[in-house]
Amino acid sequence: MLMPRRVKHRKVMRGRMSGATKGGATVAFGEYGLATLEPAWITARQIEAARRAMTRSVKRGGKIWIRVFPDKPATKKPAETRMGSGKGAPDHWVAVVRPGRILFEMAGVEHEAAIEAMRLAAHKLPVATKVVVRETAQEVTGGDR
Amino acid sequence: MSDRPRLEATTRSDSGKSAAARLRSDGRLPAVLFGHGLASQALSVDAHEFTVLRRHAGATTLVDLAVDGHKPRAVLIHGVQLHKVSHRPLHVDLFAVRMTEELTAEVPLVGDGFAPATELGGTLVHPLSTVKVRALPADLPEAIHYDLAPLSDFDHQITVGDLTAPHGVTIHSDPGEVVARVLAPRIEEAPFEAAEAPAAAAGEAAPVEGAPAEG
Repeated sequence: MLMPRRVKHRKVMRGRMSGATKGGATVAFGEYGLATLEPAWITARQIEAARRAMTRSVKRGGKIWIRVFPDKPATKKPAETRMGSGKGAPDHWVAVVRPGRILFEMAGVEHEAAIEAMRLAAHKLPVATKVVVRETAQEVTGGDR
Repeated sequence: MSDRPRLEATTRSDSGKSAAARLRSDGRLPAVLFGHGLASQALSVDAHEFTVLRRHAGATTLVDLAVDGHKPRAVLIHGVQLHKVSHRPLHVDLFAVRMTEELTAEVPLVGDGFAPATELGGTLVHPLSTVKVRALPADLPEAIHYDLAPLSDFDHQITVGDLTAPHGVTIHSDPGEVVARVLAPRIEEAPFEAAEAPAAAAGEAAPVEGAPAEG
């Protein structure tokens, strides 16, 4: 799974996710992109599951780019622990995404194959998504949850 | 009468985000007209008319812009701000050109034909989708086409230097930049599997503070 090699601080504050994405809203490398329509924390596990779903769907063809990186440590308190006593231990890594952010890109596959691969990937993600194409970044499919 | 696409615009006096939001809710788009030696002018265009125009007019297509019904002048659609989620246009930049003055523009690249290396299971990728050119407005091409046939194996690539510029057009991008190539097929299915194993062995991804970076 994706994770940083080292970090400046082990635990970080949770932050807010208001508004649309600041960058990464256009398809930059491939021909098709999967854009999120909701703000969320996407875990490294979910990114990997979505990537595998796409890769398996297109078999060995095409190229896939992952446009988000889970660089934020998320903490978790142990089960059956009373509240208090400080912040929990680092548990997993998340990527913070806001609406409009392209999560994955794909190139070198047929239109239908790309749409199907992205549909399968979208099922592994905790957000509503849509597929966008490079030229005009126009919407191909509606939100698929 | 020129055969260029035509766009009607009206001048606007209000500016700011609330005035722009009002315009958009009325089915219009805020726009600005500017050019060499020309004071910039705040305009508005019909949103639907502009969307229809944009389907066949790219960034290098000359458009006849008539402001308040006056004599049309040649402009380029220099930039369109899009909504980050819905991708609908929010604002339009119109660049008034002088037909005798050269200008620099980004022209889309279009690969024609078939790359033989894709038969070997490779993936055709286009690292560069536009190229910077300098030309008179009338000579600006809508797109520069190139042939994909030289991509016979995974070592071959098409660079900016291989492109043929149309008459009157000079390409200003780096000649070494790769326009298209065919990537070899992936052998391994999961490049992250290897990274996963040692992390799991070390007791699940616990963040490690970088000692030199702290403080």
